[in-house]
Amino acid sequence: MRLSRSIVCLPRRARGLRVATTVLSGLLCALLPWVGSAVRADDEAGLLEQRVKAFWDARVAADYAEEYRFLSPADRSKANEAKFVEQKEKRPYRWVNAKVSEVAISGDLAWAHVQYEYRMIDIPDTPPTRNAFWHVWQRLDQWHPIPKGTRAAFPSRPPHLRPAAAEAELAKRVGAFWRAQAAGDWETVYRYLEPGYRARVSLDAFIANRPPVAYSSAHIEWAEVLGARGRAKVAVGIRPQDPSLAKLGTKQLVKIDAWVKTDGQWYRRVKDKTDPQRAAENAARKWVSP
Amino acid sequence: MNQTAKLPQVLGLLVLSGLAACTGKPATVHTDASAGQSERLRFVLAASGLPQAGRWKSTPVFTDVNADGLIDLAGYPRLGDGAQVWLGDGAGGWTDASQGLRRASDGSTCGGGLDFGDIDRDGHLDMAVGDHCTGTFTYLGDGRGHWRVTTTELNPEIFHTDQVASGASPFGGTEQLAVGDVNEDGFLDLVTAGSDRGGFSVYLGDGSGTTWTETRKDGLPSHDDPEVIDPEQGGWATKFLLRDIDDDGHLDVVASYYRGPRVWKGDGKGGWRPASTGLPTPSIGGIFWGITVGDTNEDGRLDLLVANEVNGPELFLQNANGSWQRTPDVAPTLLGGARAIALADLDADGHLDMVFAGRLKRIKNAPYGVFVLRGNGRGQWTQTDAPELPTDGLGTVWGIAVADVNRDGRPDLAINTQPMRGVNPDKGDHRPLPYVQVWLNTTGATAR
Repeated sequence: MRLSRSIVCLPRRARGLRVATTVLSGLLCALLPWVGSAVRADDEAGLLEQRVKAFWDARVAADYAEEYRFLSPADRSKANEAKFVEQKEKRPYRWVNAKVSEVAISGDLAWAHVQYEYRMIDIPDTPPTRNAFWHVWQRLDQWHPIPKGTRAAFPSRPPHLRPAAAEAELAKRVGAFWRAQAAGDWETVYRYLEPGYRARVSLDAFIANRPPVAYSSAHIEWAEVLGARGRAKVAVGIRPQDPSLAKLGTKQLVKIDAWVKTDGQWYRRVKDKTDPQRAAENAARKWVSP
Repeated sequence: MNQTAKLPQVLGLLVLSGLAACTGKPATVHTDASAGQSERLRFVLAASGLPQAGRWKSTPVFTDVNADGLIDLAGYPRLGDGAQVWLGDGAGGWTDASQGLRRASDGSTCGGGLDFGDIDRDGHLDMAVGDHCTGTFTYLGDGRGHWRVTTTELNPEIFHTDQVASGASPFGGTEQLAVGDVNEDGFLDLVTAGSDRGGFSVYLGDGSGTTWTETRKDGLPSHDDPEVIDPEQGGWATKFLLRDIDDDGHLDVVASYYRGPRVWKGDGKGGWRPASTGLPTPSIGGIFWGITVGDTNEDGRLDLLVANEVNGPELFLQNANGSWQRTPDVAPTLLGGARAIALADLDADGHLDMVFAGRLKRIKNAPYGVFVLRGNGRGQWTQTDAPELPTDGLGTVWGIAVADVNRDGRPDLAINTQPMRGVNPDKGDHRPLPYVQVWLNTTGATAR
């Protein structure tokens, strides 16, 4: 700012120079914040990368007390250090190595690409298993890792790796579905449900068995496309449509909506225990990786 | 308490109510200022001789155990040793009269319900106790505060057969019970509600206090005759009463059933039929607790007042055809629901008033308080200042009873409660009030 001000305050007589310098100062004024922020972003990305590496170094060293210090205050409040360490030491595996290869920041979220190897403790002679994923971090007072249990509430990959157009298309569809929910337009809601569910459950049965709740307008925080699967984070108000529960009022819910693309169109997945395919998927999902 | 003992209570309420014509108008709520009603209600704590500690997980019962004309009090605790009876001196003092009632020395009682009646027809009141965990007990009284146990751990037959099959039956335990002659054979019977599954059980008495015959498929919901087929297999009731709700001379069951408030009308032969048209079936089970009846709008029909754990007190007016009509919210400022409730003419204006225990806010571990709404007999209720009553700071309130303890013509209150969550008086935490409280109604006493 000091530089641009000195350029603007030139003598009157130097009009030609004044015009040129005015243009130049304008350009500089416009660029300076970007230059500054680029520098800051680089600094921040570098600092974050160091922090992520330190976190994974602690994991590889099985220094869980050190790992605990990276947790957010909210996560630390769930377990003290001794309990956290005790839980971690009960794990059936140990990390062998980890490499942080890339960090991407978007607002208060960041994704660090981590390649790691782990080995089951009980079978030490087997070669380590290799894996890689985008480790999500969140900026609060400083950067903290998102624990595995709540990672589903965030996009799994950084924005530059996600298909923006496809996600916009999904978000539009998610928004239309929730507008129909808020309007109590159950026929429209039904049309948005995955075809497999609609083949098993008629519209009348769907309407008859829907829970007695009303939704207020929803806010779509993000949508993520992973091939034919989609996820969307939706903040929505929900209130019981039941006079005996009138004073429960409206509760704000944050839901991670699961969607599936079938025949070129996005449909909302339905939790349906009677669906044999879903049961098989759930059984397969029980395999747990670190 | 038998049928003939309960009818005068109901008739008394009707007389007090004046039996004025029904306006048919919905309930409305005023504040004291807007209503311009009479003096504020005054109460004084009269807990001398009552326990200072304990978890009194039962509705207290006022009755005259020793027939001395003075009101006595009984309660049943959780984590205690047994039911307790305190003889009243008519001035708010209490003396323990629980000899023979101690059934557990390890503090293993689970709370539940209790009721009185002359089971063996010897002229002295006897007691039935329902324990949430172990079932029903009966004790014969000698009229002097001594008790002899005659029935222990009475549970429905399904409990024993199911226990054999699975090793742990959900059909054991009694959440609440009532004593009355349901088949009008001259012997008092027991009606019990399961604490988990099994619904209601009726045990017909023979006057011995030892032999009870369980009825089956009598019209009350049970494991083999549920209101609906659902995993609860008849479910439970948190509170219920035996009352003649339709003035036909037969006892009816009025219940805070797990599916919602319910009425089953008795035929005087041990059979029951549902009479719950207009009563709700909420989408969440088990939200209704305290329940009472009274003619709140003075139309000559008993109405139903229930403590809803979400909405607070809810009033259902009885229509001429026996169906029920929910009134608008009578306590709109109460946001944390209610657990216990009673009706009485607290201000002696001839109209029933409402006293209930609830929570002002819907937040975790919010304290309970006791509140009064004055009724005008026309469906209007006035939020009333009764500053001596604890409107804050109580743990769960399990029940409220009403009777004229000191014979001054004003109904007094008994409140069963427990420490607030996180408060441990045994470790020195502040104990603001005893957990069995009797509040003498002194409204207008100085003026007389």
